[in-house]
Amino acid sequence: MIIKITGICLIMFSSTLIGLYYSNRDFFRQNDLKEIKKALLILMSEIDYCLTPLPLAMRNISTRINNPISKIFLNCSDIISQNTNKSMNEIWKESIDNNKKELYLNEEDIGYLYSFGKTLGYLDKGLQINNISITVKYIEEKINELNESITKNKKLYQSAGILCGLIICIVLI
Amino acid sequence: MPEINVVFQIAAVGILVAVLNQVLNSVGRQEQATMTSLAGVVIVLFWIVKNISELFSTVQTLFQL
Repeated sequence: MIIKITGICLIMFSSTLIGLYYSNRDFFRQNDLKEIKKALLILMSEIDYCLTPLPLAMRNISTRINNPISKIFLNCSDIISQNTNKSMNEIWKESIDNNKKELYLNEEDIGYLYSFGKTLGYLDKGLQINNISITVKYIEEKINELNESITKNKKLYQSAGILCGLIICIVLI
Repeated sequence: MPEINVVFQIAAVGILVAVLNQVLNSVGRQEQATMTSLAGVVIVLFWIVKNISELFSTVQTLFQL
């Protein structure tokens, strides 16, 4: 009897947690996107008005934004200052790949970030600023889309998690 | 009587599937709502298919068919 009760508790606990994870995943992704948008806007002003060199600009950004995203910029600036013979695109990709696991972004977002790196540190100021503003536009679009899906799916995933746990318990009893 | 447990289990599954159905319907996922209710029906059928066959054989022996 005790084994049964502990089993039921474990199933309920884990299914509730899975439900909570799914309901919050979109929310975390939106937070990451907002943070990246903030970072890109700072980068834009650093490039446009201050004409800061890229390694320094990246370091400045990493001190001004929150953790998982700031690590990308810090990592990037570290790799640049090590003077390896890599292009900026490769460095950007590497620093994203190093911190990918901590982000809640999906493949599409990561792909956009990769393609953002292609023009980073390439040709003149205007091109880079245009590229940043294109990426910022994409991010804004995604944030708006996520706003709708968060309000729609949050309660659904929570209640679905709990109910599925209950059904599994009853079927197994 | 151990058989009465099945009735309670079926009732519980029915209630939970109904609630899940309502939740899924309210966010506009009609297809998944249909699939969950179908899954509930299949689970319950698995439980009672033995009892149904018993019932049929009882009826057969009762009327000597």
